[in-house]
Amino acid sequence: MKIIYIPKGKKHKDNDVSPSLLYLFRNNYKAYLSLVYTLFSRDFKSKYKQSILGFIWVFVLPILTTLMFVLLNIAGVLNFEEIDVPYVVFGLFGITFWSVFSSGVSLTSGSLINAGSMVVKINFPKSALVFAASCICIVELLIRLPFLIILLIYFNIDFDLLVLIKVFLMIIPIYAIALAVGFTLSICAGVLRDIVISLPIVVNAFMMLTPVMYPIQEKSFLGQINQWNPLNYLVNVPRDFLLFNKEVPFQYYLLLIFIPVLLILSIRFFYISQTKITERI
Amino acid sequence: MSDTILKVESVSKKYSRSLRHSMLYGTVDIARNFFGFSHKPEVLRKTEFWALDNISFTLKRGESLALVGSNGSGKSTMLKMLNGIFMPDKGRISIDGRVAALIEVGAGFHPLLTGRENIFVNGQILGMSISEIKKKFDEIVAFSEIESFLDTPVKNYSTGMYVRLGFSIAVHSPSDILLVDEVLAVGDLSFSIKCMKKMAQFRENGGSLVLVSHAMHNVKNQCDHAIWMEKGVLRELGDSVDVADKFEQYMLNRNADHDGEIINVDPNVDIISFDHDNDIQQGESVTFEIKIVFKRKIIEPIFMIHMHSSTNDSLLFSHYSNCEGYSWDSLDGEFILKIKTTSLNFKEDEYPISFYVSEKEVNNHLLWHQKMYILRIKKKSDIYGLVDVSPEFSVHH
Repeated sequence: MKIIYIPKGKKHKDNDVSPSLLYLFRNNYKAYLSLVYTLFSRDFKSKYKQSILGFIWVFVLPILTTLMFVLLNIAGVLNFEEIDVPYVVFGLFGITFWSVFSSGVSLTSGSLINAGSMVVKINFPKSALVFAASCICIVELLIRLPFLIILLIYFNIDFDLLVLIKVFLMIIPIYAIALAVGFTLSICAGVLRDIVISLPIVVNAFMMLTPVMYPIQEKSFLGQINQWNPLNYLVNVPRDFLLFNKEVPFQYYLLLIFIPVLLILSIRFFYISQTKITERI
Repeated sequence: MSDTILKVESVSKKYSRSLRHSMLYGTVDIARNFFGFSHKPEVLRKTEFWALDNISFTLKRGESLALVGSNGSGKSTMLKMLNGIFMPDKGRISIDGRVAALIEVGAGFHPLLTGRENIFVNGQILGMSISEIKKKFDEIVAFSEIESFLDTPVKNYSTGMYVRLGFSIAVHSPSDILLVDEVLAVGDLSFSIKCMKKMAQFRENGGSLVLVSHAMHNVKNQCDHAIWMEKGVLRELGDSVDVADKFEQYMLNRNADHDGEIINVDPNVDIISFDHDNDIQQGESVTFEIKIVFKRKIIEPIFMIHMHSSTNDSLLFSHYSNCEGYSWDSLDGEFILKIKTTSLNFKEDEYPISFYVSEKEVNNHLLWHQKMYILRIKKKSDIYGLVDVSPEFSVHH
């Protein structure tokens, strides 16, 4: 196969500058998926390899966050009286859905610069690093799922399999928006390291702003703000649908149109920019 | 299938001397590209310079080519462009075959994973399929001589084992062109010989080789042709023996001019490369990037850097890492030491640089590179005397 490198990028044929993900998939999707899996497996194994609790950390973090909010409730700082289900269920479902976004963004944003010399010294599809990092949050979600279902059964909360399937399909948009943000920020972080430094604070601030761990009155000030917050819909619509059988609002359907467009644009941005960033890592 | 496997046509590459400008230009270029505007790669902006300027050459199937030149000549940049990691800013590179590169051995290794796991991870990153890795697994292990450590995390490997495994994976990945960047400098002699044999075998099977090396005997033995680059410009292109001889003569003359001297007191300490911006302007700072390997654990290492006057032996600056408040309990393996200066306001000239490594005490030298490197400072404005202090004049009554 003849490859040509020109200032504009990599050409695979004489007339085709093709920096797209589709090109990779068309030509060698098996090798690409295998590389994503290998990188994911490397990062996932090494994440828990030197810890005593290992995979138990997947459960510990959301449980601790929920307990913290339970304590705030007991102390009278926050009031959760109007929730129709036990707060533990409400909180754990919220934090689990939110984690797909927060872990996804945190892991993917640093994926290029964390790979360091590998990015600068080896020619391989860099997008595989972002996909591999994003897979970690999905696998962590899958590990938490049985625990959440046991919780529903334990607290006698009605659900059927179809609702459960629908709810877990609703996680796809959360994953997609995390991936879109991750593709964009992984490139931007190559130029501006401030992004990686400030990201945990920004993500935490968004979590506090978004009604993940607490219910919200629509007419309150925070409720008004959250009408414009896509994360509010992405986290609360599946939870409300499962726990309170609420209808899906039209804003959610708008997001289902907007998020794929955002994802395509972010992938395009990544492919156009990756060699420029490699020179600066 | 064409006889030419690699064609480099009028290729240029630019870098920025200033990190701040590099970040700014990166952001602007990305934005312009995203919105479909050209970022005019052929135009130099403030603080940018051509790290490679108008380089052309071809390589035929089965041939081998060496890239030689002093530090900062652009060899590694060229290799990264041949590997498709960086794109040229001018010109084009055509490659008619599969490329395998050994630019840094073990890049992509995860320290917590075992040798076995890393073979699969690294092999795939280098472009091998799982079935290809499985097929070559025994050969990779046998070549790297790490059989008994296969299930040990690579963080516990010695530098030699690390290098052997990295080289073995890369050299077993199926390719038509092998790009090698000075990786053999860190292995022991027997492994270097083994690698040379493997590369010769690769060539006998019809593979083409591009080798970056400072070891002229390797260039002469391994390569048919050589390119000598200085400051990003092609200086000689021809038979490897002729080019290597000319380059050696040039280096000897240059070091003689500056009384260069290398004393390796401890053979476990070596400098793989000593890089800095080719030329800086008066008033700019410079960052020295020194790739060092400690083949044993060095306790409380001390790094020293001196800049000498070009006309006599006087020191223009002399800094010791411990006196500047930088200390390390111990270091081992391969690492890059970066030393960034403040702005250098010296007059235009070529200044010899010395670099030393000591252990625990300044006088306990392990490695001594006396006036081995040159820093060129280019003129920004006319100054008389050695240093520009930019005085402010004012009159008071």
